[in-house]
Amino acid sequence: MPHYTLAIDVGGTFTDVICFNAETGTAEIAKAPSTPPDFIGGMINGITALGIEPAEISLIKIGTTIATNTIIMRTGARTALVTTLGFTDVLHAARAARPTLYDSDWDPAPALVSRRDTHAVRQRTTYEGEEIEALDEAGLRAIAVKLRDQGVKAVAVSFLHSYINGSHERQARDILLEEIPDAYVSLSSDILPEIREFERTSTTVANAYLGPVLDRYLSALAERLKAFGYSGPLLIMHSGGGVMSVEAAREIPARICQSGPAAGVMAGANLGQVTGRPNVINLDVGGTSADVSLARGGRPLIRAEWNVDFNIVINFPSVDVATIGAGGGSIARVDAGGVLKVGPESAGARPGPACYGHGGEAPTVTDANLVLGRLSGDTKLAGQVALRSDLAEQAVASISGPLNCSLEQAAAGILQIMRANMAGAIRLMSVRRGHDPRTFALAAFGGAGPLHALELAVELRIPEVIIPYVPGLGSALGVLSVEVRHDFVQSIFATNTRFDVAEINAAFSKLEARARARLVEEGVPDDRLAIHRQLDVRYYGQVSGGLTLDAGQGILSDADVSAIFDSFHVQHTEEYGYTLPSDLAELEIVNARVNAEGQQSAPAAPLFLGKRVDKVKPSGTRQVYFDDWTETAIYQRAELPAGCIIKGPAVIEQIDSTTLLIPGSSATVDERRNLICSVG
Amino acid sequence: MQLNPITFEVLRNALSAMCDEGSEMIARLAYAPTISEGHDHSCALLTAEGRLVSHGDRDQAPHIGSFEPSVRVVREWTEDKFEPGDVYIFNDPYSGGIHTNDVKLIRPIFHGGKVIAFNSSTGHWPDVGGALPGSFNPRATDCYSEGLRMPPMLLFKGDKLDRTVMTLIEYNMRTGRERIADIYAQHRAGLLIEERLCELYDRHGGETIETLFIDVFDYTEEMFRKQVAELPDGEFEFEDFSDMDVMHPDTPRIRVHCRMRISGDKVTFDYRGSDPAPVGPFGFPRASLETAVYDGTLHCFPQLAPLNHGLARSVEILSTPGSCVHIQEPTPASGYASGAYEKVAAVTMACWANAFSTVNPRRMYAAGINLANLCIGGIHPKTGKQFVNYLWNEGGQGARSYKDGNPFQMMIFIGGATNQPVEILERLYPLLYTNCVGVEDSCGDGKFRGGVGIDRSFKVLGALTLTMHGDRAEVTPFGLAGGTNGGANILRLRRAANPEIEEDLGMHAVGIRLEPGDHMIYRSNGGGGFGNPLDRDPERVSADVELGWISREKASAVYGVVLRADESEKDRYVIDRNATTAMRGKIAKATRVRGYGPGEVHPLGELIQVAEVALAAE
Repeated sequence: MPHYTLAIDVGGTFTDVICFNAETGTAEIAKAPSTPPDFIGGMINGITALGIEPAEISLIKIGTTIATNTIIMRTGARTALVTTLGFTDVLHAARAARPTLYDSDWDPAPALVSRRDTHAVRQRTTYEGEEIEALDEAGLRAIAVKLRDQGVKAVAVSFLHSYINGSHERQARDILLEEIPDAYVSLSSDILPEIREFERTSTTVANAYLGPVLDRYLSALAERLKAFGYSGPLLIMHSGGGVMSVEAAREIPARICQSGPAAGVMAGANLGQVTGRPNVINLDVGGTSADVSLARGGRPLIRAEWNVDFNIVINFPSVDVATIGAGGGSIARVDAGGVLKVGPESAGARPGPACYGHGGEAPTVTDANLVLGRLSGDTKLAGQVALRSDLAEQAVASISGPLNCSLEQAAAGILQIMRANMAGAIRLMSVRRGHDPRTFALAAFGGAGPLHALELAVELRIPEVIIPYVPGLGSALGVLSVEVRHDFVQSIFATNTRFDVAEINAAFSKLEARARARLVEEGVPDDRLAIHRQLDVRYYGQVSGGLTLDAGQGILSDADVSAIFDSFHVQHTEEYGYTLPSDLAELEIVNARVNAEGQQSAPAAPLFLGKRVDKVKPSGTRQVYFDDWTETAIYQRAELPAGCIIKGPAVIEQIDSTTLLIPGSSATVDERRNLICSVG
Repeated sequence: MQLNPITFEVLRNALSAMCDEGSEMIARLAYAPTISEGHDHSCALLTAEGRLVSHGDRDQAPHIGSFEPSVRVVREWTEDKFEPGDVYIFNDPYSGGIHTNDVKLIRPIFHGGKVIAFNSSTGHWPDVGGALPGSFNPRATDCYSEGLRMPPMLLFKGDKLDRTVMTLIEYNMRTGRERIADIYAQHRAGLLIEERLCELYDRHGGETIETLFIDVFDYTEEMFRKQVAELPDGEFEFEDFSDMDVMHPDTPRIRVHCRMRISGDKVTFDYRGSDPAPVGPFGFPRASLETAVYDGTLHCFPQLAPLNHGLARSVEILSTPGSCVHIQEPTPASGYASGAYEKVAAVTMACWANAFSTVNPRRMYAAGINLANLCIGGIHPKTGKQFVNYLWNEGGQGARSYKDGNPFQMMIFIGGATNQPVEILERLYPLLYTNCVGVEDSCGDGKFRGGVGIDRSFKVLGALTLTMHGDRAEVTPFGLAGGTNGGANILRLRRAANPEIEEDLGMHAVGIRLEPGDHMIYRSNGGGGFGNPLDRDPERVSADVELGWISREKASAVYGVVLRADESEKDRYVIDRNATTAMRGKIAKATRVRGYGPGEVHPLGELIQVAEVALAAE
């Protein structure tokens, strides 16, 4: 009997399934429409479409958009926040930041907890963890009773300085659970014991807000899978670039947010690794937006802060992804000054681009691609709608008039501006962080990524583009390739002149014990655990910036800690171009971090079997506009065997994506049927 | 426009992207917390003639208008003779604008042996010398006590740092040696701009890029003039005041007055009705007047950002040398931001609101929070080390003509800056916070109300010294269309020895000695309201009470909305319709109090109403 691993990505529109056979190393795919609001039906449909027996499945790994959706649509549980007396507005004031300088019309996104449901209780702890005011238990009980009467079941507790002393929060939890036994309570000292009250509170609030929803979802999921005949292990993708057990997901549901894009990044990092190009810039272009990310040495960039919405901050260490409003549905328009603009407004799925024939009239990027022959009328985007060239031309004509140019020039202009926007996002991700895009390969995912990737590579002077066999299944590929992983953080205080090594060791051993316990619970054997320990170090007095430094293994000595401070100077010079002499600036340790990963050889590089063909030949030709109309060969991706080389100009079509090879470029099909394109 | 509109859009975005990149780089590399955390920095590209082309999109607005005059000064100083790798340092307020803390680096950008453009960046240094730590001095009577004034000095030659200039800096300011990191941050941003622009030159040709610069100006000017032409011709007047001349607290308030004239597609801002410069710090030099006018204008024309020469050359600004909005040496300048800058930006916006009232009410904004710099220093009792710390507060945004202002917003001119986490402040400084909470009833009221201010009161844990440099404790952010003025900026002291007494320190306190346990009550402005409070939907008033933004008393006394406690749920209210009708009738008959303080109605602001015709068009 075969043993299949299923990697499932539940997106807003489609649910993708990759079925991997460990013995043969081969994989097959299935796609089914997603079924909101519970999304479970679509998943079962996807599995069923594979035509395999439940008993043949040994592991299911799931990436799901449900957590992100719950926050964006504001459909989570009514949540209360319990905080320190006098500090009611830590959550509501957020960081008081604005996204742009001159926009007086702008409003921040509404918080997940209403100010009415924010309750302050008398208690106080200092930054050193010393209690200076005991918790007002009677006051807290009164709040708990009120919440019970209001029917509030989700409660976040976040007190000042609880990252260093969480005892008041634990006391508060006990009282809350006495009064509301079925409450979902999240403590900031559990969820994110890290200094900075707004970020810790916001993360804890998001967790409580998602808790009841995810709890119901995960229970229903397990039940439905059981009914289907599967009761084996289930792992859930999280934003840190790994998977976790259902039990862990119930405790920290906020970590599931953004897991789809994170999975896409892991797919790119992994694709780079298996094709021998460990430095990869990832581009995933969908209908409304493009995700950009970067992996170096096979590892994605990790960032400690990100937000679902402006001011809805979730500060778990997460794979760094930038999303910009540039996708197939991005709308082109001519402004009052006669200048062409593209996006960020999108036609979305409904009405969608004009060529969908669903009533959209504004020209979009997809319409421009159709006008230029890069897509054809027979192309069925995402296997669904046939595209109508007449409507696309009509839409693009609405801007070529005001621009006083030909239809082709207007369409090419739309694509040029779209590319410039994407190139800008890639430069931000790479150059701003000190990486030169010319030393990276570009991995293209999504329905529209492979359509734009080669021209974008030319723009950025990136020499090579990699396109996986199933570019439309980037997130599912990522879910398949990742291991069980957890990241823990604890704020500690030490400077290079005043530190207590015992305190640092204690913090590490506590975090490590937590990490081991969790991974062992998740079935990772002790000899398969990889534990990394790091310290966040910065100049004393700075709030951001600084470096995360490797802290090695085992008990640290005074000399080890001094060596870590010394390495700060070296790395700071590398990253920032200077270091301050130690008589000028003290250094401080801010956080201890432990990253724990199982090493159970998740399938890195599935082999996809295509159609067998005797001879590679184009399925047809058509006119495609580059600088001029050019007769261009059309190939079917499934018919391209390993080793075959296609020269541009060419269009390579497949069910959910189209690759455009520009004149002068060429693509080689590697042994795993990835396209390795050289831009020439 | 000479380039085709597609090439124009692609290349123009490349110009603003490089400035964004440069500005972000300064924040990432700098050491000074005012730059790395306060984001008080900016980065710009100018043509070889010194015309502003673009800047970073989260830069500090007050820096932006000073780039053109600063580059002009450097070009005159050097008689336009430059070598590749030259970088000048410069901070003179009178010729370049802003104040001495805002230090500019100016780099000619070379391509093919000739200067094709300039980069100028600004970073706010935490100290540039002078009488007091931080170089802010609310009691200054001349610029010589506000730190080192630097003419253009060649700081880098062939991209090598000049030791003499660096040492001059070290000798003349507190923590001067640390500035080396900030200098390198700005220098690296200049190198980046040079690399990016030369790439564009190589790829598209110099002629295209030079045409692009001209097109950027023409495009902006055309867009701006088109919109101005749609506004009615006429004169639009507004005025605002500072609380006091610190050095003459008994003299009348300092008046900032503007008469804006629109004629066809031309606009003139006549600030000649403003008061003479006070003895103390409040005013700013001419270049900063221009910046503040551009800032207020861009808030009403946000689609024209980033600022460039095309907008600058399209507005005429009149001022009287020696007045508070056009100070001359040696009138002090360090306090310009909380003083003249906020007033001019707000007055400019009010003039535009007046002009837009018949055309587009969505450009009508009441005034919001005014900066109040609180500076605390001393010896940290735990570390025994000396420290200086700046605190600032977020506060209420002014109401928009179509919706409420937000609570907890930064000052209007702020780009990327944020508030400061209590947990970090307590860790670094001997402070114990007691509050982070909205100030109930601090909003200006109206059909749409302003956002509330914040209370960030704290106790001090050591023997410390405090200096406050702010404004708007008395003359608060104005309302429009009959909306009331917002709540006050407040600084009060409760001594540990005598906690019953609350001493009002005001916005210009210097050298206040504090003992452990002393409690500072520190609250910020609420935003001004828009429209008559009696026109506010009673449901909204009720929701405001339930959310804790306003009290039941205010709901009744100002909004005429009478609430009864809901029997079924605690902290919920039901509107007593009959009592509300009666109360609203009673309030409507009473005379409204005109004036400039909290809860009063700004006399000129009251006249700026949304016209019926504009409402119909909505």
